[in-house]
Amino acid sequence: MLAGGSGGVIPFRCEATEVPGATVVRATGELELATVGDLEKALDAAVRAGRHVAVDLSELSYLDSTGLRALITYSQLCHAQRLRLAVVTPAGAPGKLFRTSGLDRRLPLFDSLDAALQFLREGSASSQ
Amino acid sequence: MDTAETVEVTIPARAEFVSVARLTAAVVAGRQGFTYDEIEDLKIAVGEACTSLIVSGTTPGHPLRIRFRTEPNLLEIGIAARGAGIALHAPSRPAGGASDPEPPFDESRLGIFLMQCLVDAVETRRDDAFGTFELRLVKRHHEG
Repeated sequence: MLAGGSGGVIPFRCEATEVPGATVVRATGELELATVGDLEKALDAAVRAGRHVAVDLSELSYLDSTGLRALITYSQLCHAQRLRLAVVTPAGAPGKLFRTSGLDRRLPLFDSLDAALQFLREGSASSQ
Repeated sequence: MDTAETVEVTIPARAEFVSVARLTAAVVAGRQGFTYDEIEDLKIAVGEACTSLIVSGTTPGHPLRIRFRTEPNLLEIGIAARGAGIALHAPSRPAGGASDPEPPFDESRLGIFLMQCLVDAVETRRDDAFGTFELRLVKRHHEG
């Protein structure tokens, strides 16, 4: 028998909410070539609005290089605009990819949304 | 006696069908007794292989033909496409680069890098006469 989580496709959803000082972009389901455009749209809107971004991937069930690349691209865009981008990492196999790819050394990663928002608030304070 | 068995799946070379290849890989590997972690690695490697071909390696309009060949403790996956395919190695690398403590990060090759990390072997085969290309992945089941 297959272990849980290896069968079926969990639909991708991406939604942005505003919290004081930052936009939280929360993505759930499978982040891959077919769905990465939705994440990019949400990140684009946040960066254009000049907001720090917390990308909450804690409920992501699948992640591949297209998703990782989008995170690097928008992290660099944020950096160029003196904004911060923080990532809340998923558990299990998608989380492991951050280490395998070496992105754990290139992106600010957090275990919880609270920790990510704290990091963003510190960024707001230091840029004022 | 040859104990190998094969499962074949053909998918349109479009993003929304990559999950079909991934999930087929998971089902085939699950039947062979691969562990949860091995199956997760395999799903990502197959997803990256199909994605790389769809993004830059296939002639539009031609499908991807995916063949899963099982042997005891081994799964070989061939992904055949029409088109130029992909290069596993960066086209140019300055001499002496191997001595760098950390090679420069090349995000355009991230998918290929992950594939190579997550399975035991990745190979390519190009047939210029027929204009076809095959990407071959091998994953071994490590008992215990």
